Amino acid sequence: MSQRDLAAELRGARITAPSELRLRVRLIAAADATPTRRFTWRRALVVALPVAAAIAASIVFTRPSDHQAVGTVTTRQVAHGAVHGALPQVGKAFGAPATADSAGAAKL
Amino acid sequence: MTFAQAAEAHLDDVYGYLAWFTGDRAAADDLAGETFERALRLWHRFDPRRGSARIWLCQVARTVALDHFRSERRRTRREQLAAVPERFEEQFAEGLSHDLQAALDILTAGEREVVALRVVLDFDAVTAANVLGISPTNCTTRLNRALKKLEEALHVAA
Repeated sequence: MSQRDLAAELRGARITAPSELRLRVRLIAAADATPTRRFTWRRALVVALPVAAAIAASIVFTRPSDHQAVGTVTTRQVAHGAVHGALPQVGKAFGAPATADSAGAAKL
Repeated sequence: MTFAQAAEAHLDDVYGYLAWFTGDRAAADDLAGETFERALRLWHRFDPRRGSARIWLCQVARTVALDHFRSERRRTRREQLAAVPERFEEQFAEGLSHDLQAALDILTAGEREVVALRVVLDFDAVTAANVLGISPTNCTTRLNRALKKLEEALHVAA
């Protein structure tokens, strides 16, 4: 018998798993059917890194720049001045004394 | 591919490999069960980019079989039993002639293993060598030696 015929006969020989073994293996495999959540550092990084990048990007892009900061202060100063400039006018409208001396003289 | 799908698809291959390796279908039955239990625990390590599930399962089966052989040797030494000559089971596989069945008896477990991987399961030399943990050249040499022994035994039987 040549090696080729030998190989053909060997290859043709059937060895199949017995049915009891097949059932046992199916039961073993069934234990894998329920998904289990497994924490791994790799998975945590895959989620955490993009989230951290998004947070960092939102901080960087929403933070006011220097130019914007000056403009904001100037606007604030104007607003402050306008408020305090308006207060004496309001006081006068309600008869409030303009100074402390006049308030004392009025009592006497 | 899920583990269940891999197990269903390759059970016969794994069982056949173990049967060839051990020469004992009853042992192969036990070892196949252990193989799939271990494979399930290790399934998260299986990377399909590195090889097929079939090859991976055969590698796990080989490890299980070698552990079995080691523990059997230890047990035998401990119990001080006379060494039982390794005997290939009769009626090992369907489709094998009586002469070839008898000839398989002269092969060692290692030789049967390489025949199972290269011929029966049709793994290429590199893949079979990978499973065996030897070089492809060594694997081919072992196969040739095994086939030559079978040829000679069949010639004598004829």
